[in-house]
Amino acid sequence: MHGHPGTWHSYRLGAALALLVGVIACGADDAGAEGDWFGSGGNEGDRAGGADTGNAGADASAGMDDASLPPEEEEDLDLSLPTASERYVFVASRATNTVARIDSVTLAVTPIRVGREPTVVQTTPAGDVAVVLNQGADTVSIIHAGPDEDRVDTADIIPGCNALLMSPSGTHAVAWYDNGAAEAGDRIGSLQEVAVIDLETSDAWEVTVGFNIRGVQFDEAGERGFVVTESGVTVLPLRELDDDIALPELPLGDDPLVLVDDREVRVGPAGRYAVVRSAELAGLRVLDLEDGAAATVLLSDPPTDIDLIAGDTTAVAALRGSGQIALIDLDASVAGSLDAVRTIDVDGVTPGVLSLTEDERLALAYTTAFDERRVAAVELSTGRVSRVVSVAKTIRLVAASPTASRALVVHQAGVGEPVAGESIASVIERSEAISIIDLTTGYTKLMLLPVEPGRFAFSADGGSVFVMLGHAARDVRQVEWIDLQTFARRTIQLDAEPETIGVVRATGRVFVSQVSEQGRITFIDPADGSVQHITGFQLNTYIE
Amino acid sequence: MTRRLLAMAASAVLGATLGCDAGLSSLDAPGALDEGRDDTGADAGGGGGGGGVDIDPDTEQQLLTDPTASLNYVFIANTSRGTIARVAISGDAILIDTARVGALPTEVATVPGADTAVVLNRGSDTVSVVRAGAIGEELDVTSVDVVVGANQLAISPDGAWAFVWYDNRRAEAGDITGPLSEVSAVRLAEGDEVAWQISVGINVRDVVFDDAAATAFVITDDGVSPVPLDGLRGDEFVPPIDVDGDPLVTAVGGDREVLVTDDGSLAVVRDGTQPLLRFVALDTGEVTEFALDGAPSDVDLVPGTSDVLVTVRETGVVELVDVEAWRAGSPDATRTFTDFPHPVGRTVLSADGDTAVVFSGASDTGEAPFVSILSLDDDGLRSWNVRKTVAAAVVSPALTHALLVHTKEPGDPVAGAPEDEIIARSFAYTAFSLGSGLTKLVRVDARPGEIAFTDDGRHAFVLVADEARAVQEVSWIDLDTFQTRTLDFDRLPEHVGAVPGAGYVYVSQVHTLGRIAFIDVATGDVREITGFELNGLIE
Repeated sequence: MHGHPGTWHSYRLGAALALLVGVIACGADDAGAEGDWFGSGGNEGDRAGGADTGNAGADASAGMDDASLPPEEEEDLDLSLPTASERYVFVASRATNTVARIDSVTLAVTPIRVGREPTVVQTTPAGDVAVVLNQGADTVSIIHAGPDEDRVDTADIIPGCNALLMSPSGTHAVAWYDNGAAEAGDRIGSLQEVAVIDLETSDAWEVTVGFNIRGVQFDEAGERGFVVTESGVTVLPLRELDDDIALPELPLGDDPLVLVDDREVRVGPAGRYAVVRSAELAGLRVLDLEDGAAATVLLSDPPTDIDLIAGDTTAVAALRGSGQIALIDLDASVAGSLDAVRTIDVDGVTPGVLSLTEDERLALAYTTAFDERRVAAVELSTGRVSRVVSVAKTIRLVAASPTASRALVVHQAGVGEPVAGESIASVIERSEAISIIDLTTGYTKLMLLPVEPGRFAFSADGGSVFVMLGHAARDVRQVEWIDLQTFARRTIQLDAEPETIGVVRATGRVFVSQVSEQGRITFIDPADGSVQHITGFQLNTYIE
Repeated sequence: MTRRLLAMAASAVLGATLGCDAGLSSLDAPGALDEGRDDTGADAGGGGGGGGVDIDPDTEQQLLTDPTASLNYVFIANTSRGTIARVAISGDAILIDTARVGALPTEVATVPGADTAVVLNRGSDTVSVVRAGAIGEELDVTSVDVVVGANQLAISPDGAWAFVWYDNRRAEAGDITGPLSEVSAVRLAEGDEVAWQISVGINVRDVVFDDAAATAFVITDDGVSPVPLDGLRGDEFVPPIDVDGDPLVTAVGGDREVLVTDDGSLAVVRDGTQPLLRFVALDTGEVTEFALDGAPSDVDLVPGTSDVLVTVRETGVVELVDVEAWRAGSPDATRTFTDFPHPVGRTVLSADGDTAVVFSGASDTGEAPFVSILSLDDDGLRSWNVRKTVAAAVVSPALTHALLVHTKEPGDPVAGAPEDEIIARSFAYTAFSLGSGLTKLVRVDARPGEIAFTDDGRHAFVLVADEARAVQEVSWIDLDTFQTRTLDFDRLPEHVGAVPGAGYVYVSQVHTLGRIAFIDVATGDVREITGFELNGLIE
């Protein structure tokens, strides 16, 4: 399932595509990051208290009223950065109105002229088609990359779009205006229209949907798109569109006139159901995306996180307030069954956020709402909490590796700079850090980092994870390469601050683009450890 | 800081470590610090260049590591220059060889029974293996990369492996904070040197080995990670065995002592002020708790056994626990000793584990100071009155004598004053015959520091140095005859140690260019060399 910029869905996107690119919403500075972390009026007191506890454990939540806790946090994906197709990496250059196509096999660079101000490039790992949003021209360029030559088609779209997503099948793309991603000075685009682009014919249709677009998702087959607005979901029959059209939306709530700000909508890979959660509802709203039927499933608490598994037949909900995970049979729910819900008690850990393994066997439960330093691995089929793992620092996010044998934990740094030789608890608390958990044994390795971690990517085979570290003022420009079999760590120094990271499926190579006017990208081959840099590809390219 | 910590490392290498209470750490390397050199060291360290730095011998001070003795030589690294010097005695000559290692060599250890030194270069994050052949042959140096920020070094008993890691307790502001859960295992086999990254628990406190050198035990706040050395073929992670009884609880930076038995089967854990010991089977991870009547003030492993000698100061009890038998439920697994005519708080075991020196380091008991000798073979217990409170004790390698280092009351002794007052106000140590109880109190002019024994255990050399008092001595005592002799030096003695295969004792001194004296134990001759790093003159 695909999400859009500005929602937390996008992290799941990476997992589903096996690109497994994790993203951490980095603040411009420490203060910003803290603000993001705790939300407005963040609970600074909680965190400061945690600094002295060493291992707060589950008791940190004692006495807390769940309703008073901040919402759980997940991370965003910035789609304006380079992405990889099956074989190529595409890097847009706003300054030159070009996209550099870099062959991950030969490292050859081909500049491709596109429209004015290309800002977003989208690809799928299953093919070598890239679609580029040219924000200055209100067009999209469709690049059909080939070993000998590229074909570039252009389609006009509705003005003011600043967001673009490609369907997993690579056959369609949807562009729209995301007000949440816009900045002062940007044009304000349509709040109620999307452009649907047929990437094979280069036709672009203007589709009127519900008001205030919150995001776009697709089913896995790429047959349908789903535009989530503030009041409902509009289903886009992608292959059936042949003209501009206005489509009705399916209402998200019982009363379509009631607007809810804090709402999360998830569409499963099969596109059968959408499930909706809200802090104001002790339950889930289930929407049948085929016939529009809806049902409300009552739960003991408002869910703080939801996922869909088992081909959209089951929703998994984190019930932080009651310390449970709920498994909701969606077919049964819509049919009105009273036995649609099964709950799992998660002892020792507050299940505020769930991170599912790719095989959907395990849910990794944790909370970001307060300083609880534990992660529970819950077997969804049996309802057994197979392991509770203690970590050394406050949790920011947890991501399971593609092999489901390891988990990456990104931690939150405390206030102040770490000083070597001061108490070890202080050093740990004040340091940026990640941990790697062996989900089999529970072994956890804490790794201190010199700066806040940026994006990360698991290698195609799941054997490694690469974490970007960049901070110009501190002269940190590197990638940490962690072997998930041995937990060994290697630092790859870069000449410029890393910007984004990803994996090219055809070669398994990891690419790291860097902040550089001339263009700079580094390829790392996890198979042999080789590292190659390409610089100046926005001017005249050469390989170092 | 570097030198202070190096002093501790040197003590361990010499095998004559003092059995100190926590409050006695000041006994390490008295007078070893020289403020002027500290500044130089900081500058050199900050430069990060190590080798290649041009130094004017007339004006620049050298930051040197503590001397470390191998079988036949003494090795000293020049941290400022990134070199190591081998100091050898040949006939009447003192010979110096130097070789470049990595940047900022700060830790040096030697392979037991050999003339190989292992150097941790903190500036380049490398370990250099330095092999010294016969005098006149060039030093052979091989270097490998290790974990960034490592500041600690340990060598396996068979000399096949070195481990390096970052110990936050040894770091200072401005240092790199190294990885908290990694060690580098360096294979030292000649021609096959390689370093692997071993991931372990959090906050590495120590690395110890079993006697067979089959396993390295990495002690962390998470527990003990046993690293099997025979099977080590690459980077690995070794999950720690929990020693808390609750794997979800990690007392990061907590007050905990973990000891591992010589055969590597058992970890013994003293945890803060809890009135118990934990025994952890390192093969199964089983944790059992041994209840005590009070918090243990001292715990020792009896060498070559699974026995633990534990002292509880508040109840005045020393208990010997056969851990294997106790875990098997034997009613005869413990032996308790209470018949001490004095408070007890500390025990120091002889190297063979047969004899324990029992004393109290507390000077405010209001009772006459005693020391007891406990024979663990036959439970024999004998006690003797000594003239001053015992702060620390060490048993000679020959197992015949102990040296007792005493505390001192405020004020200086004045001739003509009552004898008790003179004794109370004097710095002193006592040579103590374990067999006869015969003692000799040796008054010295400053607080006794490092102690070195000759291989045969007959001679002991006690560092007596205090810059403020202008005391620059080494006290030499023949333990057979109790004859003492004071060796005066022109510079402040810094470290003392024995070169096992050469019959010499060395005394390094504070000097801009480095100065070291060699004492020929057989003849009493003393030779000194200055500026050895720069191939200086033999005086």
